Amino acid sequence: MRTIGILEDDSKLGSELKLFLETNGYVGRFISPSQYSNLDEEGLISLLLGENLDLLLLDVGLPGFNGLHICKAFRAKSQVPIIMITSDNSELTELLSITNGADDFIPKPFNTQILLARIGRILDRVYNETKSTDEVLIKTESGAEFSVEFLKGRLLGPDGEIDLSKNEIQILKVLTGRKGEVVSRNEIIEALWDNQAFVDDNTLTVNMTRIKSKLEKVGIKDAIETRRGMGYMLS
Amino acid sequence: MKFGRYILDHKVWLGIGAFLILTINIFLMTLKSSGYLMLYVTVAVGLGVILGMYLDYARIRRFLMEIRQNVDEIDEKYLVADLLAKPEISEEEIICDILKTMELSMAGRVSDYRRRSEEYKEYVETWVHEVKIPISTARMIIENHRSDSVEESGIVDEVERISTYVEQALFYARSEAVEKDYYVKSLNLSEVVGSALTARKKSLISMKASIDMTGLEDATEVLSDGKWLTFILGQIIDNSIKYAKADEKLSLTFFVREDEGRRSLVIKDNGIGMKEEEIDRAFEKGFTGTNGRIGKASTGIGLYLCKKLCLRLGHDINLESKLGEGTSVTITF
Repeated sequence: MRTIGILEDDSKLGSELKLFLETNGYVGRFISPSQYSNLDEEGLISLLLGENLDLLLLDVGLPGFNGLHICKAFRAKSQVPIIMITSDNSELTELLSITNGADDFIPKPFNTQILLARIGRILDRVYNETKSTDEVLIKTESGAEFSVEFLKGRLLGPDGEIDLSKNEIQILKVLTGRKGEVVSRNEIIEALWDNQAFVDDNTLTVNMTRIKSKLEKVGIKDAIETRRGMGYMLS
Repeated sequence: MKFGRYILDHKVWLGIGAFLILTINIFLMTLKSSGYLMLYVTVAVGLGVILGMYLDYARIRRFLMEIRQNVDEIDEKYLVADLLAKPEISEEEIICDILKTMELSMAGRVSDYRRRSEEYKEYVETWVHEVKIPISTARMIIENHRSDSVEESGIVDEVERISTYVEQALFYARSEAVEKDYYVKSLNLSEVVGSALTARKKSLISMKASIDMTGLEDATEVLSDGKWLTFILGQIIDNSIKYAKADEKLSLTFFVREDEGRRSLVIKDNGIGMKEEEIDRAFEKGFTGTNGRIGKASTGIGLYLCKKLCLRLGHDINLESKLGEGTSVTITF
């Protein structure tokens, strides 16, 4: 499990962020202002280095410190990825963040799903954790097995393999990630929107029909169940 | 200023001249002088008075015309005292002095208001940054306590609404700013449109809106400030959401147009549209139109802000609409 450090001056936001990260499979380490209020910049940097972080969420506006300086100083000593979080959503702050060594910039108030997606993307890139998310093996209730290769966009079943479209990959990502649960149509559409695919209700129906027929082609029948008025379930 | 009017204004000199002529003539009559002498005195004094008046008229006219011309030529009228030639006589000196004093006091006032408005803008910016923290926290709390009752309460939408209004306040302050606080770079239009759409995904998805961005696929780089442009597009999309038809699914189409080397982004909806006579006023501050008044809680700020921000970025923004058919907004970069 990856450890994510949170350097944020608002205690409530910091602890909620920690809780949020922890419910999403990370170890959150909230460094509260009381821990560094007596430290100078160097002290704060060594405190951060000592935490053994895999990623740092860094607020630009910290009491007594300039987040951009911290970013630069931390980057000079460590290759741990940094995501700047700030209320100042301006091009200039974003530019300054990147030039000071940050890997990404997320303005407050953040969309929680986008935050998770960005964290995931950076961790994947930096630590090559593609294996865990690149491929998934699903065993259906009837005992048949199939796997989805997300990066290659391929569906492999007992009767062969078939290519998947961008939207189909995203939909399967959501369904395989929540196997055994009913996922509502809106939830699937939202996940697609988060990935810049602005599909509507009708397109989703078309995509779902295609996925089902592709599954059948590779030898998997009735793996996806349609619940009227509720959504879809992979079982 | 006409000479005739001057004479009328200064008729006291005519009276004095007439009095002089009369008294001298009476004096000459008692001396039994010849009629020629009396005629000479009458003509000489009369012409003298008129000539004197004319010279004075010409001087005053020159002085005043110079002020008038200068005032007409400059935008900041109160700075006219700086442009005047050196005064020649004490009267002019006094007038110039008064004008200079007025200018100084006015300039003081202007810079005072400028400073105050700058301070206010800074305050609003700080305030917006502050208030974004509890909004972020609220979003996190909701996310951490997801349940059906939270979902049904609609609290998520309310937090989104607060967030939208806060953003609007920030950009209102920015649009009023005196100094430049934007950063123009080359942007990918589909990314900017995408982030404006993603921020509104909840409402758009729940109303089953269909989005067509195929017109943005190629040649979509424009020069603008990404954050500002995202905000502007957001306001336009918000209007499309607000003024969608009740009996038809909202469809939003984004495409690019090239005209005489200038690239435009068009945002077209199939909403209720606007009355023809109201289109021209759509960008006016506080204008809500008939649509805005039919229970849609319109503030008349959104498009006004779009226009102002576009002006500052050097973009043009235009709106076309047909009642019952929809509205399209064009931003030309």
